Amino acid sequence: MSTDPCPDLERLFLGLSEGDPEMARHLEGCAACAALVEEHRQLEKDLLRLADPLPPPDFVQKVMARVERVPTPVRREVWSGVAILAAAFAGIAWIVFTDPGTASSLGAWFATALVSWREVLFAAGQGIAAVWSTAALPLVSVASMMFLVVLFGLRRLAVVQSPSRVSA
Amino acid sequence: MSVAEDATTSHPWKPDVLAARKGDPKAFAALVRAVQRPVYGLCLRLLANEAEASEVAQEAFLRAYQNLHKYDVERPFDLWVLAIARNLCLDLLRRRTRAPSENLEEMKDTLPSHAATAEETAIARQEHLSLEAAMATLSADDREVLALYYVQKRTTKEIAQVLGVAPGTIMARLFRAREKLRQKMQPQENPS
Ligand SMILES: [Zn+2]
Repeated sequence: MSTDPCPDLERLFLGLSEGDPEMARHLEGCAACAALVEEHRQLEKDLLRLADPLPPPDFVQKVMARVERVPTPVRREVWSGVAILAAAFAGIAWIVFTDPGTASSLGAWFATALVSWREVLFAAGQGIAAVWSTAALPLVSVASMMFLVVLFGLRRLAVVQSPSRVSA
Repeated sequence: MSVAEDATTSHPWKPDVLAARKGDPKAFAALVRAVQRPVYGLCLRLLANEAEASEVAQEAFLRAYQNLHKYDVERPFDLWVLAIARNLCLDLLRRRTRAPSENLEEMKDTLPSHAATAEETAIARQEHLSLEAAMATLSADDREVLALYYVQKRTTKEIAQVLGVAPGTIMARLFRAREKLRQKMQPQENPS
């Protein structure tokens, strides 16, 4: 007979499920705990006999009707991509046309970066460097660079982003 | 067994997911057909209302379709949709104003009971709440873990994936839910 005080019920059950010898020993000597464990066992047997109800017979049909009504996911992505690109270009245009100071300093900075980059990679680049220092080409470069960044971002958005509540 | 055959056996949903991604509606319909019962079943157990369960389960499949390109085909498809459905159910429960106990009578009629004979049902009504009805009075947290483990026979690891929690916490949750259910089933404590 066990004279140990009864353990907390949760400790008893988790201990038993993990094969804790102390809990098993307590159970052998305690009729009250043994009866509780038996009640749980019976309840588990009843629970295991429950089954999922059948969905309505037209369930698949209803889902497919809704699926057909939404634009295909690929097309949605393309449209959101176009929208983001349009916004990006609008931003660039705004910088160029409303604030020439910002545009030219941005262009000058970019030209410097490009020139030094080119010097490192193509030591033989001769007359082209002079062309890069004009204002027009750097601006075009900034725009195309942003275009590439946006494209890259969109690609990442489509492949990587997976909201936790959806993929949980 | 070839590599392709092996992949199909261990990931039976994979070919249909890949085809559905390319826009094949029949492939997506096959996926819906394969997992509709557990998804609808979990929704009904959480919402205790057939119309709402059907609506939310449909919505879950629609979201799965829209996010199919983000789904990792190496993970079980049914668990992924179950997780989406469960989140939608919890959102709805949070928005719902009426108490779940008001749905008790409805629940008795909508869910199949293992105690099917009239005599058994009569006894159950006289002495204590039926198991299904008692389950319906538990919190959503308790109901979902009981439904996934006992009704759908899922492992603690699978349940952890659906609920987005650590697998080590599932056994304790199960015990607590079962203990609450046991107390609800006590005729002297909960006369109906
Ligand atoms: Zn004891």
